[in-house]
Amino acid sequence: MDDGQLRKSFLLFLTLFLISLFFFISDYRGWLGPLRRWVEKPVVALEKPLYGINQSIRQSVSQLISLGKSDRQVFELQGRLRQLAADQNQLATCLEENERLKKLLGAPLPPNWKFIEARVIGISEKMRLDRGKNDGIKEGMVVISENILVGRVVVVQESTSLVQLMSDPNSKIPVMVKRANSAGIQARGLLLGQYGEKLVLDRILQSEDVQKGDLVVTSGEEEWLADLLIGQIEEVAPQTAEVYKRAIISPLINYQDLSIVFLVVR
Amino acid sequence: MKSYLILLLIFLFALFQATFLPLNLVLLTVLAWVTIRPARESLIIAFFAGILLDLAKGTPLGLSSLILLIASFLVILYRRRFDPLHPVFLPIFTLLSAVGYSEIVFRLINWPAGLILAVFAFLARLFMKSFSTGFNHRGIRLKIE
Repeated sequence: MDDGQLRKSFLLFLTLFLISLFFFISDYRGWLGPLRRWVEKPVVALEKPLYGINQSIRQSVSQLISLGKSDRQVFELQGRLRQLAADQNQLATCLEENERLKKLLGAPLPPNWKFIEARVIGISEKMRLDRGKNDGIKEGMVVISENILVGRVVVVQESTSLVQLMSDPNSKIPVMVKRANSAGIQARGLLLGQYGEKLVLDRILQSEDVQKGDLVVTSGEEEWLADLLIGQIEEVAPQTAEVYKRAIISPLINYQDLSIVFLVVR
Repeated sequence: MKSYLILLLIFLFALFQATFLPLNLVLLTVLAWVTIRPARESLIIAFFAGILLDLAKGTPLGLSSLILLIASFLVILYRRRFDPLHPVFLPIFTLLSAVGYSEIVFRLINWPAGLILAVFAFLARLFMKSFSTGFNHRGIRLKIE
């Protein structure tokens, strides 16, 4: 390539760069809203069935892997396990609330939450939902499924939005550890996302009693809704000389399997 | 005109990326395209690939185009002097671009995905070597003399 060709290429590069920059600034400021909605519609329409096909393939593969077992039974048991975990958490919360209410009559009740149903249209780095600004979605909204926390909305477009999942390495959520059939909190910690299917619970004081099977729920700090289930403790790291200990958490749901979620409106 | 049909493949990859695939195949395709095709055509492909990727993934429109254009222009500058199909260059450049892309767009340094993409780039390089016509080793030798 000679200098003349390079100069021409540079001019083209500069032109396209400026056009991209214009698009970026316009979209960031919301000026491209109607145009984007119009262009995005057929793309989203293509993504929905593609995500459905992907889920079917995933299910078929997992069925093949678990060949020999009664898949239906496993599926039902998984559902029951989730339900039991949710019930246990509710029971623990009720016990605690009961104790608190006995002491503080007239304490304010939690506000009534409303829900917006959304379909998942894709999961890669973030989860993409088919609801956006037009449906009243705002940044920071909490996303749940079956009373289990899925993540938080981080980007809102006109008709779609992106959700940061619990498994995102940037995700840091203040949580509490509760034990089934007992009131009170076992421990407090910080739930960190990481690559893969497991999460890490950090900053648990060495003195705190945390066991396998304990439930991890949101503490309600940093604008997160309180008492939302996240997962169960799978393994507690052996005691060391450090101030804090760590635990491995297995989420109660596989985020890849979700097709419908709910956004909480406070 | 035929070469612009690559945008169909890029659109398909963008849809895959948006729905289930955490690998940046669009970036890999664009970088691979830049190494073997004329500079101006590659820049236009990079621009439209970015727009398609942003539409598919729901990221701010133009952001991916900016990143892909910069990455493509760096390859164009590199290939003036060196062989872009060198076994080391394309995988490493792909790895760095992929990590940079995910950091800028998602604030996420995704090394595992970048490394897998680098392996794909290495394999793609083997495939492209047979189609490459752009690099003139003899011309370089003459220039040095």
